[in-house]
Amino acid sequence: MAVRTALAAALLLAATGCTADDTDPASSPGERTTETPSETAPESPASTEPETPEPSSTGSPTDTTAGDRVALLDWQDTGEPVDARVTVGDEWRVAVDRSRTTAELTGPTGGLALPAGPRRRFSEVLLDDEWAVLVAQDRAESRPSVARVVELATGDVRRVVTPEPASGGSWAMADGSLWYPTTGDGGAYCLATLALADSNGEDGWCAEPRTGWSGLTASSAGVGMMTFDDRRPVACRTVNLVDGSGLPQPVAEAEPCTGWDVAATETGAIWSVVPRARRQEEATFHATSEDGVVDLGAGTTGSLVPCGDSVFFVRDPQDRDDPARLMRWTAGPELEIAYESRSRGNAFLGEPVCSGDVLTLSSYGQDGDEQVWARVD
Amino acid sequence: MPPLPSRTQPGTPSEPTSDAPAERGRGRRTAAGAAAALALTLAVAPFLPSDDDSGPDGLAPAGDAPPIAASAAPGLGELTPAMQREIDRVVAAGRDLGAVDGRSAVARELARCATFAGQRYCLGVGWTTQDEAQVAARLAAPAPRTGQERTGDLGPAAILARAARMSPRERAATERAELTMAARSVAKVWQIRHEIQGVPLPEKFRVGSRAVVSGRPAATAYPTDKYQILNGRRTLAQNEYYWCGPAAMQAIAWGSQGKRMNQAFWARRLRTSTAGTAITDMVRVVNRHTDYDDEAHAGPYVALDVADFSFDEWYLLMMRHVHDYQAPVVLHPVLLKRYFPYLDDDASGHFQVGRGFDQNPDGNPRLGYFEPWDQSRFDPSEPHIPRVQWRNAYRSYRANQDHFQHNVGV
Repeated sequence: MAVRTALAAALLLAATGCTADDTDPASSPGERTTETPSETAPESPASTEPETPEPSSTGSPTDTTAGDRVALLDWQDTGEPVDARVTVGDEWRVAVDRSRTTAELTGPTGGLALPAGPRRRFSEVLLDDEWAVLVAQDRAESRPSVARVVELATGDVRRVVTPEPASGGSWAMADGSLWYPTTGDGGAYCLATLALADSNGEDGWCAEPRTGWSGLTASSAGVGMMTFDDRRPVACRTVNLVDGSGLPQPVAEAEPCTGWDVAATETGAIWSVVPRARRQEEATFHATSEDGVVDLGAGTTGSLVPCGDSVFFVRDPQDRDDPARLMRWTAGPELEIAYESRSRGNAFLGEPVCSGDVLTLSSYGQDGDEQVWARVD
Repeated sequence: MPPLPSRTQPGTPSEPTSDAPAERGRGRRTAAGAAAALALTLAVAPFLPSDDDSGPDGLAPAGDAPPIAASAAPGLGELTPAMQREIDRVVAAGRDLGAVDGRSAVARELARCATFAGQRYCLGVGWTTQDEAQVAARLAAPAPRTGQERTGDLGPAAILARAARMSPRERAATERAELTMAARSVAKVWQIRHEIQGVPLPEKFRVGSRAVVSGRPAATAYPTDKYQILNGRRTLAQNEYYWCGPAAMQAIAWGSQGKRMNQAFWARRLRTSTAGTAITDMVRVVNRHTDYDDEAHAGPYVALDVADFSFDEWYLLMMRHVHDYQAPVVLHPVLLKRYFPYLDDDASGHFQVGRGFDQNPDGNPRLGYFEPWDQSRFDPSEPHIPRVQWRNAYRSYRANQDHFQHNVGV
């Protein structure tokens, strides 16, 4: 894709002189360091990597900290291996095989198997009570993705034609609408929308040259996305909500350039910040409420998922006696623990998958793995 | 009884085992604190059992065997006649792949195993406690477990295809070289099995004048806070989507030599193709082109199957390597989103450079590593992140175990 090529070239150019990239010159041989808020200080006074302060200093001065009430959902075993690609809905279920070349839908009115097609494999599965969207990506990531929309009530299968999907990228579905990447004029990387009922699609906002976007989320509360530039050594990442005109608007309360996840809520937004660029997986989550910004504590980058009337994110064990947890934020405002792994310490959760108001979750730990689902309402 | 693999590096078999860490090569830090007990374990000389005493199932006790001395990190041993016979046997058993039909049959043909001094080595995989059939089954897996995105690790289909492209003569030479290197490295494997997994040394595994501190060292022997080696400036993103091996090798050699050779240089030496790089080649090139394989560091690198390692054992191996050996680990995970949640998509097997640990007493153990894969170079829908990363070590352990070879280069 031209836009992808152009942006890739821009990024590549920016990365060419990357010998000073990601620096943390440790003394050699080994060096023992003690954690400090800036982390890089003991390693490299000359480090060019920006580091933000400790999580406690993030957010606005009006931050409050949410408590963690235990309110476990009624989790059921999917009956599948923990690494199976299964999306469980209220009545329908989609299972993608290990090679990701076949998707099988099963539900009250029967079943349907769809092949990804030659030299493709399924990259996204979106499911709610009315629709299933199956996105097949080109293995070489050169051709546009092929997306098929299945109307569950009738079994009708339609292909997303206009706007034509870009290769790969981030997709989201809510309330009969689909959001996905497409290639706009001049090869721009753009956000397309499609009304599933009538296949009426439109081009939307396009990223500026040398910038990109990812991390789409969608719910009845709105659409969230991360935008980023090609800055080195770490991209400046902004968390946004898509406004009524289809334009991304930065979440004003979020710290600049360090965001990752974001989703809309009834009272604003929930988002994550990565305080230390060299711990890309360790984020802190925050949300807006009627009382201001609420500090939701630690979570795992890339795990934020809206589902039903809530938004969920994953939290790794915080100490060796801690389980891995799925956290639930509702605009109440309330932060609850919706799932706990039976393993303590050495445990983690996969990215939750939502279908309507049903969550599917894979849990890994030294005391055993499981794949479970639960209704969130 | 034929002699056992003997050190070719300084030191003699009869040398007192008081070669304390302080006397070792540059950079070693085994003398600190409780690590001293560990160092004692290492300072004793693991006199390997004879090849002839080892059965096909491996780990067999030995008979009387002339001792070899090993330092904290055993050096390369010499080939014994028994080892040579075993190499000849395994190489001779290789058939022309053109006469072999079917993926499973080809896999069985490639995954032949040898037993050296009681330890099993399988071609292409490394040192393992699994048998030939189990190893072949991994290669013959019907489909890759991951999606299409590849970062440069040689997958099972690519391993089979690469072998099929070789002439019988070329393949025999390659296999002979691999087996020879393995045989000469067996002391390192015994050492790891004993120290990390607590495998008893064979009955005749004499240790010179000092008693062995048996069992594995405690994790408390190591710093509890962040510890790292290698200069964080000396790592670059891979230049090609299939060059995680050359980029990882570039960082490792850069740390050893202090100068940077470009990734194309390492790609040639690693025999990297567009299908990727094999871990056996990573190990081979580390041994040939860096000093991390010397006795002041890790001794000869080996590809070690860690399928039977618990997380604690695996993490201990990481600490042992980074702290005591002052040598990086060739990490070999599968790059799936469930293990690396910041990725935009699942990817293939992969190479990273393990270079630090943080036992993090108030939380969970972390692993420090260089990440060659920069998805923003190949997928502009994702932002750039630093190549220097620290993360939940248990995730890395599971990503390593989920790789079809579940091995590391240590």
